[in-house]
Amino acid sequence: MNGALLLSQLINGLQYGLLLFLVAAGLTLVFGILDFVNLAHGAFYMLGAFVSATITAISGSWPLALLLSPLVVALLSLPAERLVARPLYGASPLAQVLATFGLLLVIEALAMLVWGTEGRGVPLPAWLRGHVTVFGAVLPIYRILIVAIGLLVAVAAFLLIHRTRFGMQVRATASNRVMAEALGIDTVALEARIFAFGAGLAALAGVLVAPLSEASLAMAFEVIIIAFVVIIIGGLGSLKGAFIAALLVGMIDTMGRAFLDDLLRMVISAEAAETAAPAISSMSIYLFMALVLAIKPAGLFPPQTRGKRP
Amino acid sequence: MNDPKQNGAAQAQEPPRSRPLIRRGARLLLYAELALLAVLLMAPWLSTWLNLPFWLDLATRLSILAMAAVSLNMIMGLAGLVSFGHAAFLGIGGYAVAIPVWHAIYGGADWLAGESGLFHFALAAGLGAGWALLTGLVALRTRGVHFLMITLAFGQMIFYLLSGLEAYGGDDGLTLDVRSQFAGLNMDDAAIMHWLAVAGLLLALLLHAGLKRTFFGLVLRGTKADDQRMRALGYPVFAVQLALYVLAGALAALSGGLAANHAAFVSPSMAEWTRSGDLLFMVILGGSGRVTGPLSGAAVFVILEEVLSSFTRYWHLPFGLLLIAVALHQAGAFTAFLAQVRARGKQGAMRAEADQ
Amino acid sequence: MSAAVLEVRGLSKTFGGLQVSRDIHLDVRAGEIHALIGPNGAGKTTLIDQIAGETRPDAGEILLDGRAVTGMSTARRVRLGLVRSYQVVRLFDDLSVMDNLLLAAGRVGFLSCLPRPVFSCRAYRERAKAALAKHDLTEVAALSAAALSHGQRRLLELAMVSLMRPRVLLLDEPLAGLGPEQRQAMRGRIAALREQTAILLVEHDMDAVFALADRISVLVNGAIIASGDPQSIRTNVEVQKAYLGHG
Repeated sequence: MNGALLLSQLINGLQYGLLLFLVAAGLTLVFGILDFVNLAHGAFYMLGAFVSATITAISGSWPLALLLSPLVVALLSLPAERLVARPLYGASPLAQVLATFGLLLVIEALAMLVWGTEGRGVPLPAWLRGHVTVFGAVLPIYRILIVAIGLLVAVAAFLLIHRTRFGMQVRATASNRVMAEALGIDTVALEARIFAFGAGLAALAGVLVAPLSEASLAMAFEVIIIAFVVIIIGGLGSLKGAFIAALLVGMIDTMGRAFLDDLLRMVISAEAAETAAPAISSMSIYLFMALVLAIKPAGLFPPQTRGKRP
Repeated sequence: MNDPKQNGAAQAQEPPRSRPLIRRGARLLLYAELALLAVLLMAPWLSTWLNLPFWLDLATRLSILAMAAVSLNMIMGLAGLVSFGHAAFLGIGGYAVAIPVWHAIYGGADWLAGESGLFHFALAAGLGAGWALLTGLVALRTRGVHFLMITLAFGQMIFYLLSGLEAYGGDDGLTLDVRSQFAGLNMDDAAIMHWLAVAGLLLALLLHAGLKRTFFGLVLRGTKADDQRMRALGYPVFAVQLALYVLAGALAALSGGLAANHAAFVSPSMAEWTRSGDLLFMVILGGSGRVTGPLSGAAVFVILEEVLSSFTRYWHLPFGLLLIAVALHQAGAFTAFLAQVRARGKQGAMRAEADQ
Repeated sequence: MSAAVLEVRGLSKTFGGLQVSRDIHLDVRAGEIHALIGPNGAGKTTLIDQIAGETRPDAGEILLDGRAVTGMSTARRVRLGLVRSYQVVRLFDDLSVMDNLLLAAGRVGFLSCLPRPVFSCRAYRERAKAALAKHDLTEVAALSAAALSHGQRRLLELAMVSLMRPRVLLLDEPLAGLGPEQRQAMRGRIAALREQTAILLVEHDMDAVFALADRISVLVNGAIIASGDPQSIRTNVEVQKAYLGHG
């Protein structure tokens, strides 16, 4: 294990963690403010990837896709909010997961109708395909770009929630909806905006991931569970918790895949380590979740007003 | 609890139990389910008589899925615990059959190798119970939506564990070269396999019906209604719920063992979270807490899956829409919507009168 | 003087800057009714919650028969005989009256009965039936608890706690919401319970308190300002000031 490898894996972990945060942020906001569990949230991540593939293919400009796709997906999320989510705000979690599981299947089927079952690759512009060398580690420029965008959006999201008038209205609605309405806040419109904002963030993550892997239907199903793990660890409804948990999960997962094999070799035979490592590392974040929950059943940063047992 | 929201859906307070889709026809539904059970019992003869061997395969699948759904229905109906990770138990049960069979044929791990059906199913039940105990210790410290999400995550943990078992096929799964051996039973006979599945289903149904009538069942109903009050009556709520969860886990794992034998194949997808969603759908559709409910739930699911997927590869679209409709109905959103429309209609009429 | 069954030593609790219990010392002796009175918001229910184990105190100790129960779960305290009722009656509304009573009766040694059908646990059933008769609930035994009148609900709750073989019964306003006649009857029932168990009674009805209690403690702003027999409390200047001062 050398320093350069460690550094590049650290960047990978950071990048993965920030992408997870983008997905988890919407999930935790929607839960904390709207009292709504959204299993279909991963679908917006998938849509982001596919929409960016289409925009890139048509316009030939990936930066344009980066800017437009989250907006397009945010708009697409509005009918879903109106028809499926809004009637169920504050309803039993069971009805919510059932409905959004259905919504996920519907969006998947519609995406299959539009884009087919094959994955779509998204080519990057040439200037993003290069590498830079930092402290002996060769880092792809694109991964650094993801880290930069991720951090920027995370900061912007915090400022939006904690420093702006919109954020104040959001927090007021979260703590007391009736009071917020009495103060003249249009809570219905506000809730739709929060939902769309979360969908847009997830879509942004999808856009950023697409050039690394490709846009595929399975994305929606894979990401959602990990995003749930993140917000469970962070404390349901907490944006700060989601951020810290996302980075932790990103690091643990990346480091596990990269180094667990070597670590295990120190304890057990090389052959056994080779078989055990992939199985254990793929479970590592779940083991971490179990550990956190065993110590803190409500997660690392349970919000004061929400998600607590009565 | 959280502040009640003044939304359309809020008018429908969280119902004490989910409503079966057909409320007035509850008795009719029960008869239909009992008739279905009779058909399942006679399915091997019926399929020979009608010369439709494919139907028998479908009936076996239905029985196994219904058995798994009964297990989920037990924890939902008796204790009000909504788990979204129940498919994990099916995966565990399936591999508890497949791995010993694999070793019996290809060698290695003598302590685990074996073709005995009793051994397979004992192992399945034991591992299912063990997994329920481990995860229950963590998950049962929470309630409601926390419990739901944590079971979801734990379920996916099993999925990734099974996918990571490279020695046993990894993502691709594992074919069973022989089925579980029971003395005097030819498991390769589709009819025998079917009756075994129906026996499992009956066992699950009787267990649920029996539990409902025991004092344990009454204690569980108490914890479902008001767990804090039960503590104030001196009951160890956590232990009581854990016991039920372990029982249900073992039962679900048994259904996984049956599924492995039926398909002669196991794969991680048995434990995929969407499968847990399917089971939840079956329970809700049949009405959670109704003992025979999973029969109609599983029947509708199997028919939908078979019929829709034979018509269109986009069968997730109608299935998803149905899920949404069922959920909205369950939360009383339609009733609320109709009430709104009616109220608006009345207002409109009154305004029209006032204008005249 | 008989020994204290329940003893509270130096109990303190603060909720977000508000001190709701200040160094409370209190004991309840076998066979006595110890009444706890005080103006609204004095912290009476919070004190009951702490004794019952539903709220953790910040400091202090709770002893049952000389044994510290401070760190124990609610359920364990109940199994040792520390039983409470609620200010707002708390029943299992979906269950029948009989089932409510069976749950209360079944607490003792319930493991042996768990796997048996509800009605084959004869010992429970007989005790539950006796409680039905004693509390005039036999006719409504099969109704769901939600269908009862308020008076009947109070009776059912009393029947339940008396079935739990309490050593100490914490009664939180058992007369609240009852009419004059029902009050009178309930007072008789509580007095009769004295032979079975020691009682810590929180109540606003002063007639009832002075008629029932052997001793009275007065809680104001989270602190006990006076404790003694009814006569001494009646004449206590501090108590009069506190009650007049706080309305």
